[in-house]
Amino acid sequence: MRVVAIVLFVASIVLAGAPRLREVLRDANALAPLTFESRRARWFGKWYPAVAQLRNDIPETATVDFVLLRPEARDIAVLGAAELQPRDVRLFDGWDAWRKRERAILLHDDRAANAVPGAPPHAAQYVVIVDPQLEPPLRRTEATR
Amino acid sequence: MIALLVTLVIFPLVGGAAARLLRLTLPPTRSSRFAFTFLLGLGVHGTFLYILGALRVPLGWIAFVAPPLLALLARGWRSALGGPSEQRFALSSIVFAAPLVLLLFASAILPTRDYDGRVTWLPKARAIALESSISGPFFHGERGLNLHNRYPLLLPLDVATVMKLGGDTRNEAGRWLYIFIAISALVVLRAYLRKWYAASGGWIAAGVAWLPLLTTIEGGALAAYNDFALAAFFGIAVLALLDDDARAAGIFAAFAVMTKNEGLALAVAVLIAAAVVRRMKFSMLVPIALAEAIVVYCRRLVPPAYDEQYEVLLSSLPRSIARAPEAVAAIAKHAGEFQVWGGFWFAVAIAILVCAMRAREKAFVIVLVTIVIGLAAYVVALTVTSWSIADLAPVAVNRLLAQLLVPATTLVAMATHSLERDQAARRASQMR
Repeated sequence: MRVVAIVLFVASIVLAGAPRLREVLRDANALAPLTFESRRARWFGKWYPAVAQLRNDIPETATVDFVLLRPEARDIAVLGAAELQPRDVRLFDGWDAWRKRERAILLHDDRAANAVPGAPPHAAQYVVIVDPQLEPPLRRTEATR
Repeated sequence: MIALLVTLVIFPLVGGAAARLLRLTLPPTRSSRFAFTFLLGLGVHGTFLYILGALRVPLGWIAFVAPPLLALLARGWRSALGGPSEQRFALSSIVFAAPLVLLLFASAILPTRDYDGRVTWLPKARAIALESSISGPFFHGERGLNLHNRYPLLLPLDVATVMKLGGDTRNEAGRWLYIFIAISALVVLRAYLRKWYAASGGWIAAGVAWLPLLTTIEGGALAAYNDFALAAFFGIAVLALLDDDARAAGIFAAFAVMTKNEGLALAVAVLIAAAVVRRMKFSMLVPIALAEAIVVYCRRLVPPAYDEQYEVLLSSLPRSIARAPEAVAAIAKHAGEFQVWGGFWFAVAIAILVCAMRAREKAFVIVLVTIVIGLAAYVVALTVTSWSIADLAPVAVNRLLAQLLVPATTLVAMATHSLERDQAARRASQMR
């Protein structure tokens, strides 16, 4: 009885876990020959090389405005802002909000503390437009519409 | 490579000295003692920095190296890290180690991929490493985007240590720390299960090492989500309580409080379990209360930003109670996902029935109470959330269930062992 219980328990988990482990190892094998930056680029998709380029171009002490051109830009804007740390990246939902200096509210929840961090920011040294449909999805712009 | 070295030297060193100083009961084998002291070191080192941060002492190089230097001077680490090697070779050891070694290999290659780790937890660690403070410009919205500004900071402080001393603030600096947390928790769990439940315990732990959940991108062992850290601290608190070391139980429960917000509910579960079996001691309560005081005080140092307002959410419980059945159903549905859990939670459910019939002892009460209170806390959290349960459950429930991994596995081992005892008793009566 005890042996049967153990075999059933272990087998049910190994049967589910082994294919997943094989997938992870296959991913790791595929990425192993690449440099770490290339691994990230391969895994994360086309937004990552664009952010890596911004990281090279923009000094660490700079302020950066991300102008999100469509709602689907939020995910890559948030991930991109984290990748650009310690640069002070501020997010704006479209050009109107950018002109009014109203930061994007990422989570609309009346029962959460949704205070947008920080005072309304002054215009940044760099402006980046974010749109997953563009190529590249994040690009610096001189334009101030 | 330096990050690996820092991870594997600093924390066991600090943990070893702390274990000796606090006179904690260590697990039975050398490997499990190393794993135990690694986790203890994470907690003690992070707490030390948390207190300095709360006092607004700059978290520069001196602060980061002070705990390991003090540990070296104290010398206690040497005896804590010693101890007997494995009692004897067992096939279950290979089954246990194989997936973990493969995960370690994957961890060395794969970039940190989980969303919350990359946008919530690791930026906090990077900010601490760069700004030498837990209330610097980043935490005031003046230096980039900080989501969930008031989350507890124990793990970001540990990761910041690796970043600072390793001279590398990229996300992957913390990857060794996260994978070793998951591995250490399982190694300590296995050592105790083998001690209490012999071969049954060894095999049950071996099975758990293959859980698909460990390989999940969001919240798995390779993620920077902190759920495995919470599972480890809470789990060791439960194991320590089972081993009748109330002080260690209180200390690890305190680390859980400082790791994630839900750690408080799990620490309360440990306290209630201790009270139910009359193992509650003052030494348990003190570290948990201090940990909560640190978290609450530090929360006030920074403004809220995308933070949950728990008092508002909890006060809405009477109005939201109609959602409770949906929350229970969501948890049950995800616990039953074969591609994430195999038959794990099904086995836990059967184990509760088996233990209720055959092993009604203090150990069963302890693990049952901690699991039930943990689950009840998750039901409440899902019930009062502003999210639709259908949207939140797929991204949250499996991570929450992972936090209960150690007591749930202990329950399965306990039940399996009770079958063995039954067989032995039957054999003995046949002999008579």
